[in-house]
Amino acid sequence: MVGAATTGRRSLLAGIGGALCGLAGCTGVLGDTDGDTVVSMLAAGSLNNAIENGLRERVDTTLQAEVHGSARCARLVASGQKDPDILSLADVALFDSLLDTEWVAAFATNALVVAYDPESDGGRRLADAERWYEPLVDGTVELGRTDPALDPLGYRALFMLELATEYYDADDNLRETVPTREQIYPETQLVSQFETGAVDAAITYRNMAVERGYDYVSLPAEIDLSDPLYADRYATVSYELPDGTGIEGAPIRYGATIRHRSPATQAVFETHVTGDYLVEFGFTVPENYPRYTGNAPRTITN
Amino acid sequence: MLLEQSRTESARSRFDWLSVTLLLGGGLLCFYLLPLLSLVLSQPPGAVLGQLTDPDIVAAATTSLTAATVSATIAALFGVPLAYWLARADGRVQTLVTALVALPLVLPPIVSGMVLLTVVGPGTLLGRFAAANGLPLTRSLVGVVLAQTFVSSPFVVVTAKTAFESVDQSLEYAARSLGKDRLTTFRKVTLPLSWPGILAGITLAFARSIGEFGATVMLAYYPRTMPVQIWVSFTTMGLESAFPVAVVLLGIAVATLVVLNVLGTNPLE
Repeated sequence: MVGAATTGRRSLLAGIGGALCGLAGCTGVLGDTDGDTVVSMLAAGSLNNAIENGLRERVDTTLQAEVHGSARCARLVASGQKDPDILSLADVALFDSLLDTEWVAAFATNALVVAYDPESDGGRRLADAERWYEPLVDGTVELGRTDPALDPLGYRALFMLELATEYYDADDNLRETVPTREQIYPETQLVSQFETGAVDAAITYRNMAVERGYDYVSLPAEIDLSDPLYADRYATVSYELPDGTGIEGAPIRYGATIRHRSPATQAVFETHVTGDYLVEFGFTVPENYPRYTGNAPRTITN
Repeated sequence: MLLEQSRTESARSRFDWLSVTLLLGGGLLCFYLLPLLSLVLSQPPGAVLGQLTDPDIVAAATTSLTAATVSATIAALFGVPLAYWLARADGRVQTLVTALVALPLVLPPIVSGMVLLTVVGPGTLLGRFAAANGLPLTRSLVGVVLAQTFVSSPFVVVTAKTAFESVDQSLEYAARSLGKDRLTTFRKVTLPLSWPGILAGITLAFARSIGEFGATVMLAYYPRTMPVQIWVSFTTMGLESAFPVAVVLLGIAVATLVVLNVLGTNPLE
């Protein structure tokens, strides 16, 4: 009986060992043995779909894109915990404040929109309203937004509301009357709240609404933080982070840089910052973009 | 007559207690099952089947299974001896080590990933050395295994320790007094008696590894495991496209747990 048990265990161990070798052999996952060039990229969460389903198929090399929130990406690189070939973030300002990069290419802008669920009462009210903010003020729409203390989308929503007050010459101060604590969700959860119908409307980025086919209200360029031409107007509003850092309103500009140069990396980078896929995925590419600041290598700017 | 009555009574009280346990446990079971059922039922079978042939999903499933198997094996190889030592050694050191083993269970996985990065990340001495020798510790299967082992191995240690402690030590003493050395006693007496508990620990570690996300996404990300793939699907295309992948993961997890249990419990015993 003991003998039988031992045989059982032995064959189990042999089985596991055999299966392991088999798996390792047929997939080659145990090491980078095939010699393919791999370009690694650390990128902002909002770029994920454009990279996975746009950029990836437009480049020849194997692209390993890793996606986190922009601020986390910058901190991971700054502290040496991640070492990507290309770094691409949702805010060019992060390159200056957290990183010591030689140059940055601003390659796209994004806009704020108010997405709504046309199947909910609140969503329909918002769509039918003469001014989109009216149903938000009278409290008949369940609005979702993200935490201004945690991510840029959160404080940009507040900027937009304040700019809207002036732009529409509204009776109420929208930045004070619209937001309530219950509207706040983490950035990734906002999507699921919206998709499962828990909120009627959400202040979000245009690329997100476009990618996922949401109905949305476009906002005028004066308040949607998309147009570098209105940079001065955007700069009239600000937000103070819990640690006391003040943040000024600014256009939503995506920036990227190369950290390890190689022909393969450069090819991926060029497609990344000049590709037509950006517009397809809901971003805006202004006329004079990509715009290089700092000491960019000539081979890239030309 | 009297005998029969007391038998009925004891049967009734046994039945009652069983019903109570079933009632209480059933509530918990529903709590587990309802969300899973709603996940499975919300997906048209076609969408799930379509995922099964997607090369990204196949690669992610292969990585998940390989990594979780390696992680559970490492956890068993190193965790079981540690558990035995903890169960048999006495003193303050043992209490301290037990607390230390529980730490990865307390840490949020994402913090575990960050902590691991400070030790094996590309900027560290260890990370650089390993990468220079062709064995990168991040963005590699090794990275996935490191993350999973860190998070899941405590389950083996904690469970196996309890299993060893429940073995009657007088049986071990008997074996020793009959001239068997410590290793033989362990193999012939302690291990067979505590095996169900150890197997439960390994199963838990394997299950935890299959579902591991937080530490893996910080440390490795590539090659993608199923949880990372689900997250990528969610952040690119939304819930609609993440759920079919989640159903596939669920199927794989259930199948492997069943296999593990069948293999681990010897039907001849």
